[in-house]
Amino acid sequence: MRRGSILLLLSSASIATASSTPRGVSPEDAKLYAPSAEKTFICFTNPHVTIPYESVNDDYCDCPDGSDEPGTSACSHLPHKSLAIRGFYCKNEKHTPAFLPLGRVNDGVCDYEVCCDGSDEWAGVGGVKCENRCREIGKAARKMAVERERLRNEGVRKKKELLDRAKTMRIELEDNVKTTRIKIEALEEKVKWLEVQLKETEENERLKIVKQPKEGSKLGVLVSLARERMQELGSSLEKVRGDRDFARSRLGKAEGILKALKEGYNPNFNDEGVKAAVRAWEEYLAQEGEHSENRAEERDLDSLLGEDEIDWEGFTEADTHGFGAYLPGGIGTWVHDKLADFRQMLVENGLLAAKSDDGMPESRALVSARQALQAGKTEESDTKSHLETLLSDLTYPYGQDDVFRSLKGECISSQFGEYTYEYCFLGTAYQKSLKDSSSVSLGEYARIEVDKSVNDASVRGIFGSGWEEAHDEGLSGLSLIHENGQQCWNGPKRSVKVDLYCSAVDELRSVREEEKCVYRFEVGAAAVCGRGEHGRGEGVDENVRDEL
Amino acid sequence: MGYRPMSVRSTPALILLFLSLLQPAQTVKHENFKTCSQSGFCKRNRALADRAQAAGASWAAPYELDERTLQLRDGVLTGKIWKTDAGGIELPLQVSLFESGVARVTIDEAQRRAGEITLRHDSKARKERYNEAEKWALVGGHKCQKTAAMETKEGVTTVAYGPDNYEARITHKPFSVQFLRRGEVYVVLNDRNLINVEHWRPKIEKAEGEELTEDEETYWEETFGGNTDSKPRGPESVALDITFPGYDHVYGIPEHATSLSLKETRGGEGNYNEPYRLYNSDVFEYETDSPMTLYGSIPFMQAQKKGSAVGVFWLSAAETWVDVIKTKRNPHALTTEKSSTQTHWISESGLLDVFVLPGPDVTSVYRQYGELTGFTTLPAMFSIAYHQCRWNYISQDDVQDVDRKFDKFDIPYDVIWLDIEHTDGKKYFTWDPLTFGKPESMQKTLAKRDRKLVAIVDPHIKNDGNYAVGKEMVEKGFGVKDKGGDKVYEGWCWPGSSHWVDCFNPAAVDWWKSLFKFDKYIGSTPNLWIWNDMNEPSVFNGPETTMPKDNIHHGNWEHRDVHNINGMSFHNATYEGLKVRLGNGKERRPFVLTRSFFAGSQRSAAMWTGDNQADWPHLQQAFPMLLANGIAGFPFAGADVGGFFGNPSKELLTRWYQAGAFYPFFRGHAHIDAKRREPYLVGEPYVSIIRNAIRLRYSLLPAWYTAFQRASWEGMPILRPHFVVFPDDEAGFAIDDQFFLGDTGLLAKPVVWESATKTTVYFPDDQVYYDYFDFTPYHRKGHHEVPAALEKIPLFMRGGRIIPRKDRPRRSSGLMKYDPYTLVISVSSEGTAGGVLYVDDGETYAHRSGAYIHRAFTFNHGDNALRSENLHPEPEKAAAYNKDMKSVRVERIVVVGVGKGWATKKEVVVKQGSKTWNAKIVYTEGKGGKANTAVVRDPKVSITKDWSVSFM
Repeated sequence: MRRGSILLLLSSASIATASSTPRGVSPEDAKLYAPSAEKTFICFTNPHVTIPYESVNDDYCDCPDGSDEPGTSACSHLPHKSLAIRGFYCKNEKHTPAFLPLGRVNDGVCDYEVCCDGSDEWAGVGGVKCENRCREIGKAARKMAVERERLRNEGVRKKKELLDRAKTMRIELEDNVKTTRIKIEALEEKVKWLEVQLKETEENERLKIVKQPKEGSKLGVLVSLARERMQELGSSLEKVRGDRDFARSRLGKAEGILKALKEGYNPNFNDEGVKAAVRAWEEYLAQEGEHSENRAEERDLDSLLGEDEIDWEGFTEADTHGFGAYLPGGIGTWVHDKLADFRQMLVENGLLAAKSDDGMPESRALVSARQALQAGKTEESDTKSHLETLLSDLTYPYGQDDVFRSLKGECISSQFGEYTYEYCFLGTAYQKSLKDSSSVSLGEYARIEVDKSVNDASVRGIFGSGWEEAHDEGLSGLSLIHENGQQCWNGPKRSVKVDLYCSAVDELRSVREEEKCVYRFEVGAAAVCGRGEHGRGEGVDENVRDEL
Repeated sequence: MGYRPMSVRSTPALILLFLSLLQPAQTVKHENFKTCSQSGFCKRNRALADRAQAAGASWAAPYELDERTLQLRDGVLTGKIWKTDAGGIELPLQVSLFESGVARVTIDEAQRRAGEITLRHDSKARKERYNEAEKWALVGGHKCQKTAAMETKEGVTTVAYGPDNYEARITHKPFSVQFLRRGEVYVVLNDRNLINVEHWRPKIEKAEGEELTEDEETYWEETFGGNTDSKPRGPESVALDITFPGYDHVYGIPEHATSLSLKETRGGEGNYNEPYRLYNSDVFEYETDSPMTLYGSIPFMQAQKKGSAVGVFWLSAAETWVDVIKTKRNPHALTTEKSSTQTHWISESGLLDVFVLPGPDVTSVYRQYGELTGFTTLPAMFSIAYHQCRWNYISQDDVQDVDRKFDKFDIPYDVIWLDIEHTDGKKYFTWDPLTFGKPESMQKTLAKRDRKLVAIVDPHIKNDGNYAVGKEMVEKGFGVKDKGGDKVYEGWCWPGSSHWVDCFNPAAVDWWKSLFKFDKYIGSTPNLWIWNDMNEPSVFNGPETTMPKDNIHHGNWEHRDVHNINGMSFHNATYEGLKVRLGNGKERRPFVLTRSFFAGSQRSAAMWTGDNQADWPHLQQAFPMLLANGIAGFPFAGADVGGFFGNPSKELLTRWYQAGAFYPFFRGHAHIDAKRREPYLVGEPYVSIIRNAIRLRYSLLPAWYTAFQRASWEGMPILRPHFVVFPDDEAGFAIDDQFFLGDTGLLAKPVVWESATKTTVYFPDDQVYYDYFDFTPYHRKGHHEVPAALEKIPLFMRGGRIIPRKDRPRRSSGLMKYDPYTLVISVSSEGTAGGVLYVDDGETYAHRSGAYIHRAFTFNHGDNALRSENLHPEPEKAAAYNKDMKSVRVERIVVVGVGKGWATKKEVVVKQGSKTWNAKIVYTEGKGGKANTAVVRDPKVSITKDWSVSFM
């Protein structure tokens, strides 16, 4: 016979189990199924429903809580929250007993992940035969459990190391803060002293200048030098302006091309190259904003390059140190500012070498006093910002007992699909393409989150997954949140939630893009070991009844 | 699946960029698709209709039937029509009168048939008018009525035929035909003299200064969106007006996102200004309530009036436009004073070929149409269960994670889908080695719970010298050619540069079929089925996102001639390939999903309504579209649950699952840019409500499968609009948001409006209707307000039906195969009920040799008993199958709407074969006005046997 008749098997089943615990009932629940004197059965949570004892496990659902059919799928249609039983109990001798959801009893599938003894397919539906595999599965599971226990212990040991190291690091850090504070006090004193020194030197210098006699010839040389310099700058400016206009027209043309591309391209035409170009163009526009020409600036340049308004000859007789003072009022200031800006621009663009002077050369004493003060100030502010860094590191969210402190900067990576994912603890997560070796930031560390619901039915599912239990260490509920990764096309900035589980070695177990540009990593780290709740319940989750 | 939304922004301001990120512009690009006035032949024919209208009674069409040429032989009337205004153009006429009562009127063009024309641009295109549409669309039903008789009197030839006093009255000058049944006119061809057959003519260059007429402007070439159609044959459209006198509703001509009862298209309040267009197109972000063309087309229209239904089938594969107007004017004294519907059919090329289906009722119309184009193929059971899709599940791990999550959340599903990203560089028949490196093991894992995988295979073949499929196709000349006719056409689609397989070529079809063999499609297993997308065909850089009309197909037919059949030619080939891949005698019923379709697609595929959007209007639009598809013979149809583009709110997603549980094809899908929305992700209470909706679908699978069987056997739609079930109730003729499921008497009105807590449902008769879930009875015809909070699907059982169910939720439909049945009897006001159940193995073709169960259930037909009777005409052929199914029993009989007298019943008497036994019955009194029920506890009767359960 290809398949057993449920009807036939049913009757024989009831005979076989009449005197013992009904099929699918655990030893601890057995007493609930003891037949009453009247040979009746009372539904667990619906005591007004009394049925003949032979109706237990007769493949017909009598009790609104399913309690009369622990060994069949007859009550599987009841809402989860109404069920008063945990499911079909598999003895799993030589392994661990477990409960299988009722809908999986006699459906033709050997659910070895839960019922390694194959007892769930007792009716042989569709000819299915499930041999008892508990010996091998149990053996493998025990081996795995031993290994897991070993790993957990190893993890706990490593965590202790982490904590010790964190402690040491913190002590060092605190010492460092102390010494830095002292250093800053000393530096502040030093700067004050240097300021006084500079003031005194300046006083001396000013007296010197006032006393010095006029030297027309020297000034004349200076003015002619300045004039030469001015002309030089003028012609440089003209050239640069020419270059700029040329570049601007090229840019205009290029932008025109991109604009035409963006407006004219067929969005249905799924060319990655074109798409990338359009995307980059939009980003470019968004960053740049409207960059219109500044008319006033142009006029300034025109006048600057136009007729030389300065009466150079007249200046040779004048008598002041400041060159700007020789120029007529407003124009003087204006020319000075423009020249300074322009020079600055040239310097920044590498067209001119940087020069320190703006006027007359200063005396060596003044220069060195000034430099000493500058150096002192710099050292003071550097030290202060070093203190800031130390203090922020001290208060950084490294988790309970600074457990992640010593992990910071450590990186792990794993390949999933067409990408290698690199994760640096409390740093940045990257996605690196295997195809074009491009690298994208998925986000930087922002904070720690604790999610107690990680193992709740509403998140994990009503039923356990034997597969996951056999393969995966359970999540700790502790997550590291990484934000502000690279902007997504048509989406948000990339971000990653790193869910941590206990592992003796740091590892990246899985990567999922849960929604567009929102990633979820599962990362193993010793830092979350020994928190108490490892793994998950076997078979039917305890939360079945808590659903909703 | 379709495009990524790429909203083109004209202002580069940051704020706009930002806004568009939050709210992507989601509107169809009207400028990408032609209006009638941008389509030369449509504009010309509409202008002709306007001239006719303006001329009034003085208008006459220059088409005269030559009486001397008329011959009637074996039910086929032949003759010549002369088009008189062009110096006499000969148009051969053929009128075929079929045994079914269907008549076919075909008009050709003699000069072109003889090939005596010259084509411009040295085109290699065929000279005949396209005459092979029937090869693709028709499968039978055209046996002629040999006894037809003809009589000619005063310029009118009357052909009498058929058992039901059918007549075709053909007026010679101008040519027109009235079709009558029992003296009543039901269809008139050329009633308004809008007939137009644009004959071939040479292009004559105009002398200097001579203006082109408005018509001539579009004769010789047309440019749209930067693409120029070379039109080597010049103008060649065919058009005809068809009037349905006294019929005030017309339905059909899918696919349009519009109401089931078609609106008028010539303006006016609430009407459209554009004709319905049939030109299979990939319309990006299509809008609702529009006559715009969509992905598929079935040029079949049904007209309905109280107590009568008729149909017309316009057999053209070319671009077609249909104008609809309704008029109170009644030119036919024979009809009662009702409004009439006037339609105007305009096709770009090919024969003028129209079938008139006399009905006289819906059942007959659907049978007549099905006999012509074929009935829906009976699908495999898994394919009518729930499908889970997303563009894209990104890896095998992803697939297995989703698979496990469904089980962890106790939600059944049967099929998981892979969109284009699973391939190696968009080369179909390959797998991305980095993400899908072990496809067989993935399919094996799915198969453990009897689940399937569907992978996408599109008709655009990557132009890549290292791609064996592409190389072979080009070398063998199996690609579509460009307008020169020699070079393979190159266009752009997902892979970039691509060629298109030409399934009009029988050799190409054989080759295509061979690609599905397991040793060719490496990584495929018998557990893999196929999704044919983009087969309109979608060409990203083509005119209107499709192929140039002057491309050349096998047989040198222009693409213009065959366009609307292209999609069907492709999914047919895929279907054939899948069917034979296991070798002789081991065939499985293939599952192929297609986006593009034509009349006949129902024989090999399921369809979905393409790239809809995650908003309420698109949820509302889905049922009218699916109903329209169903009455046009293609009921295996669905819409993407959740909406393809965008992100549905939790409420919208939940309501969409409740609606989707009533789509014949039930698949959740999402765009690549959309957030994940697998049903277990939405949180409570939504997950539980969605789980209940999917479970409802699974528990009713026996009823669904029975409805599919009936569709496959006589063409009755699966979702039946009111006019199908109550053809005399005119108040129901325009209803398209509620419907009946097969013969079950289940009336569903899933909620498609936001924030609803109640809705108004229309009960079409005074029969009792029970709420499916709580048995509240409704006794009066008319509109009733019913509760419709989020967890509630308004679903009612019409009194008098028996519904077969399987109540045990399993992980997939395959695991329910041997589960026991529950029979729900909804007792009619008269105290009776009846129902049907069809069962077979759900995957092979063994049912064709009789391996099936077909039972009739009757309740209280005179004896207060429920009986199961065999409907199988040859029961001995089912013996082996029955043996396999013998142990499958009825575990529960729920009788809804019993009298108080049932309270005293404690037992029923069961008889099966020679044996008799008792079973318990439990009576429950309905509280708060709800119906009383009685449940028979495990009668232990076999589904394969005759039996009775007596309630005396």
